[in-house]
Amino acid sequence: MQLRAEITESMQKNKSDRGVVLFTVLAILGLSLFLQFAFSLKQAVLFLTGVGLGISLLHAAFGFSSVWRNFIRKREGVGIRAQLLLFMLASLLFFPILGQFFPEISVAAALGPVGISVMMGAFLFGIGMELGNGCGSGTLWTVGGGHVNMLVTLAFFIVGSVIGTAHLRWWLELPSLGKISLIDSFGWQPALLLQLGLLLALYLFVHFLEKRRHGWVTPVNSRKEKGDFLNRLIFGPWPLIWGVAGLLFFSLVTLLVAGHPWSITFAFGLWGVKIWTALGGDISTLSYWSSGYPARALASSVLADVTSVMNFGIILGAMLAAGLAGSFAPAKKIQANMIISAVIGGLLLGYGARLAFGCNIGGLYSGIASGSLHGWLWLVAGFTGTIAGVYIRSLTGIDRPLRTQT
Amino acid sequence: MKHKQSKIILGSAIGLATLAVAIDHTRHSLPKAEHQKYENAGSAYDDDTPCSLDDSPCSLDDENPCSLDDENPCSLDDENPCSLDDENPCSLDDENPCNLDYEA
Repeated sequence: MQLRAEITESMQKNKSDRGVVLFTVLAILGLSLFLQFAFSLKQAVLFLTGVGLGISLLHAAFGFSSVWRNFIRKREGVGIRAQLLLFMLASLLFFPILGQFFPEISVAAALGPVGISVMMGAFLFGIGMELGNGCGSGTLWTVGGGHVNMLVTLAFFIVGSVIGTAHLRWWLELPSLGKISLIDSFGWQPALLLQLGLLLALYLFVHFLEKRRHGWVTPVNSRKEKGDFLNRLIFGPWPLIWGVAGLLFFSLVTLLVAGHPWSITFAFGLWGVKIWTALGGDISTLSYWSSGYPARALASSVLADVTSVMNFGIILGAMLAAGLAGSFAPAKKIQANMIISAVIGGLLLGYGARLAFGCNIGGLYSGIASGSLHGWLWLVAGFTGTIAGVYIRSLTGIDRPLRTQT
Repeated sequence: MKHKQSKIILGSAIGLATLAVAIDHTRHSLPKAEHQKYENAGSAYDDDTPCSLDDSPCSLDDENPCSLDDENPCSLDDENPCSLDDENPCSLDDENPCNLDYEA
């Protein structure tokens, strides 16, 4: 009874939305039990891992699109430094596992071809992030947080993913160096040192640019609000460093349980094709869906697909976190240009992610953490696309012109 | 857009998505049709095997004495050569090469 009273008091103090919290807890419990009995314990664990990722993403507000935009416009680099820290720590954990330091653990790396397809896909994804106002993970956790405008981005993200699968074969015929694994090329220890060196150099470069502009840098573990540890852990907000810890832990669980690194956007294409076929659409010409895992996923329940189940977990986890924080479904003025921007952005996000062999999570984060060179190509092309997207936002009146920024 | 409107739209979207997932899951969870079961059973049911259901001693076609055709005089009782009794060559007993056990 005392615990219940304490929880009620904390929820009132934090202005939690009790209806949302109750609904989400029941949905999480119900779906995890169903997955365990209808599929396997593994599927249920991966769903709950998705819930953990969703909570981490929302409480820490761990995004890519606004973080990259703020760095380009204002040289605010704290978010980028948190991302680079996450990449470094994930490399430290993933490289020995993928390099067979623990021979009893058998997992696959997120490898993609180093070619025009990934370069162009990541560039388009970068533009899409700025127009759609969200990345792969960002779109999911903001939808879970109740941002209605992000439903538009998600819907067209799905459409773009389906179109991407239709064109992927053509893109893959363009010049490519093939899949290049740093771990296979150099061995996991030299590859790890090389990668940590590159990431550290980038970290220091961002730190330098930020300090030069502002005269100081915001630490990654800075706390805007005070409160005891447990209260902040449950109700948020989290400092970025907690977000890094949460994402690191749950992405490691994903690697070990699923047998492959965390990915998001394959599911969007799958959902889109399933909806299309349910509406009577013909996919016989889409070779992507005619063989291998995509064909098997298409012929099975959506709940059998790991990526889909984890995405459902992320949405519900973010919804739970938003309910606890009292920030679910914020009132927001939605303008026509924002909707148009979300439609175009969503299409570019979906199309780009398919060409780039993943979004900012499956292509960038998991790619780099797996020692795949395509992850580095994704970073360069994706950031270039983001710069283009930031300019487009200014030109179309979504943001103020760049030159007026200080 | 007000907070309440946002909640209604989000709630509707989640409801619709849940319904879509349920329909998809149900579609893929339906029991397999009988002919698919036989297709999946492998060589034990191929026409060329001694246990084939076509033209074999165990065949069920109309001209076979063991046929189940309505006009066939063969009964399924134990003394009849078409009986399903364990010692009958057409028996469905586990040790019979013609049994329908999937692992046969």
